[in-house]
Amino acid sequence: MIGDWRYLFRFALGVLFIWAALGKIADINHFAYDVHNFHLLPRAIENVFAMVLPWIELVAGLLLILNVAPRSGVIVLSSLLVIFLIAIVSALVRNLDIACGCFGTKDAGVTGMITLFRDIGFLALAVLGYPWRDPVILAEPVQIEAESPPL
Amino acid sequence: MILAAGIGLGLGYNALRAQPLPWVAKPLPKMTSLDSLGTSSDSTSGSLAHPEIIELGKDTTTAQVERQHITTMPVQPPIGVVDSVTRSVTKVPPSSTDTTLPPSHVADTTSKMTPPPAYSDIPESEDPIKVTLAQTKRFFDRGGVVILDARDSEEYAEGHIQGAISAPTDTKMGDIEWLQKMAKDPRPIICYCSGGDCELSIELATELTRTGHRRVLVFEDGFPAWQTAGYPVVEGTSP
Repeated sequence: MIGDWRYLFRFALGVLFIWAALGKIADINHFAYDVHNFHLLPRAIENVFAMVLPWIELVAGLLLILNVAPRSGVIVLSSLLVIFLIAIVSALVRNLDIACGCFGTKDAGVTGMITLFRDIGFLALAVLGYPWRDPVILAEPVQIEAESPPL
Repeated sequence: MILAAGIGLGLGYNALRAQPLPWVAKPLPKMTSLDSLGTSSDSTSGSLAHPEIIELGKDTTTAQVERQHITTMPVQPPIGVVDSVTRSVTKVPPSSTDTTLPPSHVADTTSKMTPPPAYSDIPESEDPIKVTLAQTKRFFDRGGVVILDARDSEEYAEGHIQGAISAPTDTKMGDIEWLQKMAKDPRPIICYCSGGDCELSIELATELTRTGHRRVLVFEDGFPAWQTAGYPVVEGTSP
């Protein structure tokens, strides 16, 4: 299964998310502020979200690299990317001048169109890397000649 | 399974940290404005429009030039953070005009824990107090206040209020030693960030009041308003 060309995309996605997760885990307080600045979540769950999200990214990224449960890994990371996409679009619509925080404190860039296209690119990686089931190739229909009725 | 593992690891790792992030972020207090606390805009301007501020054009001697530096950099760093500034203030030879210096500009007062009388127009409060651009400017002109920039250090380096100290909320909030040092500083503290939806200054101010400081002000309009007004701005990493 590792020989599958789609694994390359999953591997790349896994590395990206592990990198992103480590950046956030290194400074969870900062990430919690980045989450808060989006003003999308109730304040009561912002901190828990900031605590948990990087570890979900890390676990899913590791699974993709190890090629263990690749479908689940890609689905989880794709869901996160869709959530990030909504958050970025929301920030752009509201004209918020805030840091993305996508890669922890190393990512001090302001949430903007570059962040948006980057997220879409990652989503494309996830779609390309998803281990779709091989289409079932049906055998050519065989004409079964009706046996001649016994005399 | 991935979600469960992530949740478990995340909560577990946070619990093991030396300074774990609280599960629920503390709610921000409802701030009251300085005007509503009995120091109306007029009275504030009356008390804050410091009649003792030195007019720069009249100073000619070396010592007075040194005092010019003081008046152009009226905002002092916290006690124990930068001693060189306060030392330079002590070099000013006493003269008849020295009595016009705001008390907080004299180094000796910084070592005392009792607030100088000049701060009496800022009521003590357990919560941060909102101040307007005009009020902030008056405090700035008068001096003797600590101005904290709650934004990231990168934003601080791009431009900040002259004399403001970089205090990125995300790092300073967990720095107990720094918070306690600030809490012991008798001077009023003004926190600001980027204005608009930015709540970093409120977060920092709230933490300072929780640590024990009783004269913490929040300049909500923040740096954009200050810059737009054409007030003194400095670029770089130093105040």
